[in-house]
Amino acid sequence: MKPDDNQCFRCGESLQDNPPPVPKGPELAHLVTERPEVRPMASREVAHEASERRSPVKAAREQDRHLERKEHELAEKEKAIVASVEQLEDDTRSLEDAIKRFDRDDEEMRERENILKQRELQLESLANKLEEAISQLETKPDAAGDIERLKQLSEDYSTRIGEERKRQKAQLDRDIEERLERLKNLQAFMAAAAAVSVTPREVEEPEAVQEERRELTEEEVAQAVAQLGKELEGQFGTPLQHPETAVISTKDERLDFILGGGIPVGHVVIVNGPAGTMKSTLSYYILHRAAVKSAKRSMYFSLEQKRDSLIRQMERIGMSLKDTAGGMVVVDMVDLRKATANEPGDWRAIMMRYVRNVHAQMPFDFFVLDSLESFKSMAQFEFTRESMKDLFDWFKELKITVLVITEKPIDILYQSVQGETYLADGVVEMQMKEFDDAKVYRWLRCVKMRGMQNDPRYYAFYHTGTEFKFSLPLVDSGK
Amino acid sequence: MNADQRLKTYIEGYDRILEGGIPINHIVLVAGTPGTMKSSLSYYMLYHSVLEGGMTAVYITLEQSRESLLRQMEKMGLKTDRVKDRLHVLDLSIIRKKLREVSTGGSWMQVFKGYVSNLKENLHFQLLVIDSLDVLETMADIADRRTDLFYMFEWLRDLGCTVMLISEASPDRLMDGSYDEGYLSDGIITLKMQVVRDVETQRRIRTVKMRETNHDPSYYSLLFSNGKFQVTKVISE
Repeated sequence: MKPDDNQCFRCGESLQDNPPPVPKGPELAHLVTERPEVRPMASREVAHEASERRSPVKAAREQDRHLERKEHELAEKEKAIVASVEQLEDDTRSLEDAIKRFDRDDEEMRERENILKQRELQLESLANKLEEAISQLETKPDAAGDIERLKQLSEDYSTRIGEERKRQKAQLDRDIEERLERLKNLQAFMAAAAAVSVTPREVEEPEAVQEERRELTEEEVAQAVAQLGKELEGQFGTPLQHPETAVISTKDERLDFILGGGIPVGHVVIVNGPAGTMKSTLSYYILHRAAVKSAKRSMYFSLEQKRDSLIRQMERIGMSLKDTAGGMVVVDMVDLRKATANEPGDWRAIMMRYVRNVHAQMPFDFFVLDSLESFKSMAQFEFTRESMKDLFDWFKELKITVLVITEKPIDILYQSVQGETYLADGVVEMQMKEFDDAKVYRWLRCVKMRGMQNDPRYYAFYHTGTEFKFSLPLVDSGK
Repeated sequence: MNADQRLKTYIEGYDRILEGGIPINHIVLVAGTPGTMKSSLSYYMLYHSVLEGGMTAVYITLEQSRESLLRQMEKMGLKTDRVKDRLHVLDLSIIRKKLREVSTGGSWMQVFKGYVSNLKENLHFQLLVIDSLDVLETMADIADRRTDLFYMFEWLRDLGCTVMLISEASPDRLMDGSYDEGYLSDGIITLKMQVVRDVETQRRIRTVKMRETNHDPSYYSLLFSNGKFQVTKVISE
């Protein structure tokens, strides 16, 4: 299902009217969208004076102008940074306000609970009075019919009270749970946002000087070789320190079998397939199961589909975010990307910084990047094989298990200059198989899973509406 | 050619196809798409050459970390502890990290060559695996493939050991003329996953080329079970 769809692909139900409410994530877009106005430069006069004092050689002047421009740029940049830091601080404040609002709401709820309790007490005393009246009536034999009727009434009354009480209580519990989950997410987001607002200076400074790449002299090469020899000494004669590997089970017996037992901790696995093969659903499924059944925390980073739409879609097929008790966080950047499409700055770096900050606040075991194509498009520079290796190394540094979703046809992916399938520890390929004229099945196979003896066969799979089912496909071998 | 001038592959059923093994000092390409066990097969050969043939071997990885590779082999039942003194797995991706900002691909190649040559002098290894040729190319910024690859193969030949170069080029494209390594190398072994009757997936191995050898160029099934590689005839309907 796509974000713009107005009909459910499964049941045809309209999605536009009254979409079910979804916990709203804090909006990050405005954190970076508003750019400060550029004020006139103060440094211009200074530079001008300096140039007058110097000898009137043309070259020197040109250099001055160059410096001036640089200075101008730097000052502008600094102002932009300062402004965005201020903006971020504002946002932090507004987030804090939001938390306060939540606290107030909580109190309100508690008050409501008290009122409810008082009412219950009143109702109980009423019921007692009724019973007393009945027992008094019972003493009069001629009123037997009336007594029966009254007894019946009182029973009805008490069962209704009980039901109502239960309903109210469940409602209250649900409300509280939902609020708590939202609060938890909000806290993580706020902490991450606050951290982002503190770091940009350090990150954006070092671009100032970049040395030209140059050939090393013979001497330098010899030096580098000697140094390399020293650094690699430790790799000789040392066996593997901790041969046992932890493996995360997907908590789906069949899927575990296909993967050779599960996904080893720290693996980066590519989930590939054309549109509609349920890559996102399967990845979400793995995360959701891990959260519900083995309390693994996770983050689903969607660069494609909006958070609300994704959550709603998954809820419809039995994967409610509430079941994870805050153990699973869904983040999108749709708004951010839209708002910053023409802005300078590398959003890839901003996103990575953000993920790192959330991880520091709320360590998670699983991470989904949906999708690699979108992520690549966020980079301002050419995305090379080295960039891909850097990204994968970065995942390994965080010590998280990662599912990377890609949509490129697998045969093209095998020849991609970035070599992602060679770099990855695992590759899961999904495809649509057409049979006869009308039938289309979804197939899946695990092409690669380092360190596991995966089953490389194709499996047919479908979603029952609540879970995935995998089976060896039945194909007419006579063809 | 005598049997002692060939390196046994220790893969059951495969040495027979190669008339006893790979001729020593050959440069052999091992090519295949992801998941076809290129690294595992190459490491397996080194492992058994060290364990049973008493040789010294070096496995250079340029992308996968040393730990990840060893862990993978350990999981396949190849006990890295048993060969730790004579099978050296070296992670040379650190060259890039060191030289990243200051030097060009040409310098990278010089440092790489310098280090490996030193290693050869000190360890006298007989077997070398480079994983992979494609990464090496990226690192070295090879622009003029024809000349640069030619010089690299010359240098490898001068090292005086048997070299297995892992290649990511798909077997079909390897021989279509645009890939010079196909002509420069002495042997080409390709690995692939073959889907049979839509449902069955089998691993296949094929010796496309092996100089000085009357090899069988057909496809064979490659099986791995209980820590052992095995090559058998393809059973077709």
